[in-house]
This record gives sequence, structure tokens and C-alpha cells, in this order.
Amino acid sequence: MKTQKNPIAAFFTSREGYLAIFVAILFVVLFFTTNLSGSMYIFLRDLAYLIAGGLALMMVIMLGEIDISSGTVLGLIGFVTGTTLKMGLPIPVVLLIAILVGMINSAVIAFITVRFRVPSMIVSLAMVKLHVGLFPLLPDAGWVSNIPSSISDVGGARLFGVIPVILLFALVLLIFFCWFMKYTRFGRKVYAVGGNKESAKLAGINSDKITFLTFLMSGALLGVTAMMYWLPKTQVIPSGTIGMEMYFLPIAVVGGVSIMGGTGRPIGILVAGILIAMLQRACLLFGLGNQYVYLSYGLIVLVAVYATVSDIKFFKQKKTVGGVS
Amino acid sequence: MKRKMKISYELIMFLILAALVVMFGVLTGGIFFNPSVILGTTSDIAYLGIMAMPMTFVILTSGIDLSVGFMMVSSAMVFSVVYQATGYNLLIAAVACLLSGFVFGSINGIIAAKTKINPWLITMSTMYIFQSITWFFGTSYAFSTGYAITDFGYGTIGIVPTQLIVLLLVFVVFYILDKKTTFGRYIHAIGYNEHAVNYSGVNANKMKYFVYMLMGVVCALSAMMYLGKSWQVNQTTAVNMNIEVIALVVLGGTSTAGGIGGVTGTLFAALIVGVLKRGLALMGLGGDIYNFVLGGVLIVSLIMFAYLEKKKKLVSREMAIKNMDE
Repeated sequence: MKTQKNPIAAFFTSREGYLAIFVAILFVVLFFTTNLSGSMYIFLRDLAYLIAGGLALMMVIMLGEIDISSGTVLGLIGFVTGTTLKMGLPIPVVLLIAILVGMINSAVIAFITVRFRVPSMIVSLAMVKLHVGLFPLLPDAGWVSNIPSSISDVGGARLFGVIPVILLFALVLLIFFCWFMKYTRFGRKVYAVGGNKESAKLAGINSDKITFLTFLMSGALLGVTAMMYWLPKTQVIPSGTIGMEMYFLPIAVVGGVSIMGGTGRPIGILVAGILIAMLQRACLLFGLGNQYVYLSYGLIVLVAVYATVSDIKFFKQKKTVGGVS
Repeated sequence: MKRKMKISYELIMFLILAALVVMFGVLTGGIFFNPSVILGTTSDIAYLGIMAMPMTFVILTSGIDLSVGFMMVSSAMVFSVVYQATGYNLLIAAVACLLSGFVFGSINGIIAAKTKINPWLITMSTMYIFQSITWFFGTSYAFSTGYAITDFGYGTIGIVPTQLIVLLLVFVVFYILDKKTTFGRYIHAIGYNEHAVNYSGVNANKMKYFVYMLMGVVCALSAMMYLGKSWQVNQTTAVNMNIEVIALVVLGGTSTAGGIGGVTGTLFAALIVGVLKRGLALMGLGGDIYNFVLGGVLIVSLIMFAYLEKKKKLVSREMAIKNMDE
């Protein structure tokens, strides 16, 4: 048992702390070499949906499962929400509809995974195929344009000129999950099931039920992510979301969630989310093409995962389960 | 008992194929029974079918390769760049293409063998690296090849399309590898239990490297077939191609948990999907609905196979209990 440390000092000597220092240096460099301050609002707005999506993927990866359809489902939700918004439903009702659609999609994946023991990766791959096949069958290929500006103004509302309101919602969500994963019974059970399914079962935890409920929560979060992504925009283009799961996967992996399941803290999602949002902005500001964006995603995931699975002392997480030493 | 079930499963696949051919033949008013049409169904699917053969091996080792689509497109771009740079020399271009496929496959293989990262995560990140390679080749100029390897993709020998012959050749090679060599036996063994293979004195990591390397080489072969068929590739050609290849393997009855399955089922699945694709097109239903149908069929078959396997396990457990009593 280690001696109790100052929580701030503990944070800066943890994995997330090192990452935070790196992100801060990158931010300063970008701030002084490019016109980051000019696009600060868009940077913060993108950060909002990246945090929500990263949390959604964190939940399933913590169980050792994966949801590759988390990218294309945003397109599906976008179509539904865009259509209902144009019909004139109030935004809170539409948010509930978005959450419902996300939960249905995740429930299908979770049901097949839990009931028939098919790897969730294969099931979600099939769901991607289903979504991609569905987009052209929707009216107008799923495009919803001419959404009234009164609605997109709500999504684009900002405080003090730079801070988007939806970012505040994302931060509230993040704080809620920090509390939820650490101090509730359900959160601890998720860590237990992710660490070792069989042991959890022997300890009296219904791991199938936990897996199903966690997938449902992830689906609800994806619904919120879709709202954050589409609300500030005036038109919905579902086919633009193909491949967007690769925005969220690096966030979850870099944020310290081990792909084997059982570790990770929601606070890491914040730091990793800032890193990915900054990377996207940097590639735009420096005028680098698509090739560098894809290359950086691929390399970041590989390096981050290699750091978690191999025995590099520097990266090795001192705290195994949920930040309790 | 086990052998009998295996034969019956492939028989089912054959019956489904025959039923589909008859169904589309009746629905299209006899056009489908024309030999050139029915043999031509393979031209849509052959380049996917040959990629599905090594993919069967990869899935048998309980791994997966998500990078196949972009591996193929990257090799195709290497082919066309070298082809144009060497003054239209087919041989050098083909060798360069296969070599690039070998290198791409080796990257996956070395990472899979040397580290403990999950295969799907490795290949997902290399998929994005290969995708970035396709963008590095540039966006502005077309990766066309002229008519040099058109024979390879579109030609016929007698009445049989070249693509079908290549598909069958690749199938025969992988069938022999699977059934007649120790390599094939070890692949099944790795899928069942990797530790057991290591403890019996076989280097499982070496086998894994070979499997992923083969995947890359066959992707390069498929790239040449694709170029011969459609004459050009671009950065969006391969989006979601990995799902189509994996779908063929899963429909062919290979267990995603590893160990169970074989290339014969994959071949039948490829032929079935080819008939389905062309049949829907002849009936005036385009590629959009095909994607949707394939996704639905994939999910249904996943559930079906998992259910059958569970039942099989229960049967074998009951038999074991019976034996213990006696």
C-alpha cells in the first residue's frame, strides 16, 4: 500500500498526467505558430462530440468488447433527428428519440453478442454493412437539408463568444461518468466483468446482464454524440459518417482504456479527446492532406496499444482498477 | 459422425446455390440459364473470392484482417505507377505489385507475431496507415492501366472467364495447403488452442506471420484482377471491402472463434454471393439493396452458426457423459 499522495501530484505522475503535459505543450506550440485562436470556437465544438463518443466507446472497450458501427450509426441517428427536427418537434423530444435509436442499435449488437457468443467485432461489422446499405435506400439518400437556422442556432449557441454550450453538456456528462464509474456499484461491476468475465461470474455478478446494460448505455451516449455532431449543422449527410469510428477509437485507447478490458478512467477521455481534436485542427491549419490524418490515427492507435500491452515501465499504469491503488 | 455432418453442410451450400440459380432463372425469364451469363456471375466476385481464401486461414487462427481492402488498393496503385514509369512493362509491374503486397502483409504479420496486440486492432490501425499510403500517391491523376491486363480481368478461355479459372486455381492451392500439409493442420490447432501448439514444440508466431503474409500477397494478386476488370482504382474503392471479404468467410461456415471451417465453404459462399449480386442486378435492383441484403444475411447466418455450434457442443457433452457412465 502506497502512502496517500496529494491528488494533484498523483494526477501528474499518472499516465493521464504525462499525456496532459504533452497536450499542453502541443497546444502552446499550435497557439503561437498557427491561427488556432481564430478557430478556437470550432475546435471546442468538435471537442464536445469527441468526448461524448469517446465515452461511448470507452464503456464497451472496458468490457473487452468493441462497437465498430459507432461511426455509421451517427448517420442513421442524424437522418432520424434531422427529419423529426424539420417536422417541428422540440429539441428535448428529438434528443430522446436520438438516444432511443442509438440504444436500439446497440441492443441488437449486445443481444447477438451475449446470447449467441459471437464476437461483438464481427456483429458490429455486419451492422456497418447494414447501415451503409440502408443510407441509399432512405429518401433523398438520407440527406436532410434546409434545416431552419433557428435550430442550428441552438446547437451553435456560445458563451463569451468562444465557449460552445454543447461543450458544457459534454463536460457535465464526463464528470457524471467519472463519478459513476468510481462510486456506483454498477461502475465497479463493469470493471470486474472487463477484468475477467469468469471470475466476475464466480463472484456473483451476472456478467451477461452487465454487458447488455453497458452496451445500452453506450448506445444512449452515441445518441447524444449524434445530436452534438449534427445540431450545429444545417444539413445532415449520413454517408459522411463512414469511418468516423476511427475518431473515437484512438480517444478511448489513448485515454488509457486497455483493449483487453478492465482498466481505464473517464478523465483520460478528456485529455485524449483534446489531443485528437487538436490533431484534426493542426492538420487543417498546416494545410496537410488526408494522408497525414489517416497516418496519425493509425500510428497513434498502434503506439498507444503497444504501450498498454507491453511492459514499458514508463507507460505502465500504476493504478490497475479504476484508479484505486 | 463429425465427417458426416461436414459433408452435409457443404451439400446444403450447394443446394442453396442451385436453388438461387433456378430462382433467378425463372424470375428473369430464362436469361440466367445462358452459360455465358451464369459463368459471368463470378466476374463480380472473383477478386473478393480469392482474398477470402487466405482470410479463411486468418480467421481459422482466430485472428482477423481488416486491412485487406486498402492493402489491395495500395498494391494496385503501386502496379499502375510502376507500369507507367517503366514504359508499360507488364512483368516488372506485376513483380513490384506482388512485392508490395508481400511487404504490406509482412507488416501485419510481424506485428501480429511479435506483440500481444489483438489482431483486429493491429489490422484496423494498419488499415488507416495503408489508406494514408493511397492518399500519398496523390489525388489528381487516375490510376489507369490501359488495356494490358484486361485479359486477366475480363478475358475468357473458350467460354470460361479467366477470373473463374484464377479463383479455382487459388482455391486448389489453399485447399491443398489446408488439407494436405502440416501448415494447414497447425493453423486449425492455433485456432483451437495457441498455447497447446506452442507447448508441442511448434512456433505458432511463425505460422501467424506466414498467414498474414499470404494474405498480403493474395491481395496483390487480387489488385491486378481488379485493375483488369475496372481499369482504375481510387481512394474510396476499398471502403468497406473488408466486410465483404469477411462476410464470404463467415457465410462459408468458418467459425469466428477459430479452428472450425475450411476453404471449400468459402468458395461456395463466393459463388452464392456472385449469383445473388448478378441476379439482383438483372432484376433491376442495384448495388444499394445488395449491401442491405448482404448485411442482413450476414447477421442471420452468424446467429444460425452460433446456434448450431452450441447444439453440437451440447451433443458432444452428452456423449462424453454417456461414455463416462459406461
